[in-house]
Amino acid sequence: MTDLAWQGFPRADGSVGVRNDLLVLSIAGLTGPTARRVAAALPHAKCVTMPFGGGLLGADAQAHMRSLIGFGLNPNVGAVLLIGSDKPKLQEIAQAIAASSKPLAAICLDDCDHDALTLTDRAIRAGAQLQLDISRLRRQRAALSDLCIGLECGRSDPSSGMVANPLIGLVADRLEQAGAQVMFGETLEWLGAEHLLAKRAASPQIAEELRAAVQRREQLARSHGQDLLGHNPGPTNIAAGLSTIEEKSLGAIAKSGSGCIRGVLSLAQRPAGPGLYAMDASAYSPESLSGFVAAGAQMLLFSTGVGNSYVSLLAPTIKLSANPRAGRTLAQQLDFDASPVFEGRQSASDAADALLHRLLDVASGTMTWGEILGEGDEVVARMGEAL
Amino acid sequence: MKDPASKPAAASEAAGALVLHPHDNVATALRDLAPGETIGLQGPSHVLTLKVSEPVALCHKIALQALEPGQSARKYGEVIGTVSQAIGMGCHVHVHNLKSDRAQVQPPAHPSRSG
Repeated sequence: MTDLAWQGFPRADGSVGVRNDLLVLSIAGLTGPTARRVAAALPHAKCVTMPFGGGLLGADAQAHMRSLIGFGLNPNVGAVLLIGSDKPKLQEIAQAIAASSKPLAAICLDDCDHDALTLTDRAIRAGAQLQLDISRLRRQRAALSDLCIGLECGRSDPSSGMVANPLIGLVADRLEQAGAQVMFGETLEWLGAEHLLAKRAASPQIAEELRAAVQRREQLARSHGQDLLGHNPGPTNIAAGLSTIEEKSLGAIAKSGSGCIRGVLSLAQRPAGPGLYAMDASAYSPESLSGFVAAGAQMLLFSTGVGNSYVSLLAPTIKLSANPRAGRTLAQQLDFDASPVFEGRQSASDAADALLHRLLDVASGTMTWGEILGEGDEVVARMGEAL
Repeated sequence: MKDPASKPAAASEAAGALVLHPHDNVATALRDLAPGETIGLQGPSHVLTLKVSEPVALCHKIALQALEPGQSARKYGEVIGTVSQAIGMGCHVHVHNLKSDRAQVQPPAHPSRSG
């Protein structure tokens, strides 16, 4: 492991992208269809449409704004084409993203005589110019410390907890020690393992925040008379051999490695500095991944047991499994096959080296199966009612 | 690597199941296991071989010892739940005989509609 550099797109705010995308972002449900039409006319663009946005309250409203701004600020996004119908909100988001000096155009339906076709025309023209501008950028050498990585598991089986997640943990340790940012989340899957996480907290206060986050989710399930069995672990987990949330959690937290936990983040909240952070958020993959991406993750390491095709749209997602069956049957879903470790044919340390190299390879431009096959999306969690 | 849970485990070709921690009383099947066969165990186990009493599918759990209702099942050296029905040595340990200690249903605060 001598040369651990990678090649990325330097941004004006000091971050480095592993991709250089034009993001077409509709900030509320009303302009979603227009945004999709615009993105279809700009075949290199990535399109994220928010299905809701009006009348959100409290933590929901904050998470929503953090997510929209965070997608725009993500280092993989070279330029942003914002589309909306609520002008003050559109301007607020545009100003927050433009503060990073990222190229941006914001087009409001109100300024187009309320005509979605006029909006479409203006947005396609503005987007085309942005696409040309960002296409002039070239990759430059970047360091491990320029990375921000989110860790996820989904459709897990016991091989996830025994092999794939501990492998991610070894890579997380390497990244964190090199000064990168690393985030893990899925609060419900700390349940039964929170005592182990609390021991690794940087302060007693952070330990208490970790425990409190778990208690809040546990209480939420109880207050609705909801047994977790069948939900988490879910039917796929159970069929694969996971029996209880404790068993699943003990395997899930292995992704976080052994590093010191520097803080507990809210959904889509950016880490304050380098190191390992816990994000208190949904355990369901689409919402969890988007929380990391909005917080600045350029890439995701995502373990599965039996298989899981879902990836982030904006952050290349490396899918791995240690399940020998998945390794044989999901050749065009798994970017990394960890089953040789499960079967005793490869050491965990060798596999972790290989996984880190794969990560840097993808960071430098090699595509993931999820990117090639278009399995990506961004989904912002919705917590409560709106006005 | 401070926690056993964060250490990647490896299996040998010969072993039929993997024990993750010396305090564990369940092991994880490394292949589909058939009743009657005697399997080798990989990992920090007190027993080296185990007779399989029931079919246990790949990645599912097998009891390393007889377990009584109320006893804790341990994997990764940690409690993963409480045994709800007697489990014989070499039997399948899963949702039919092991229950979570956490996030169980409690009666709703309001009176039940059913009689």
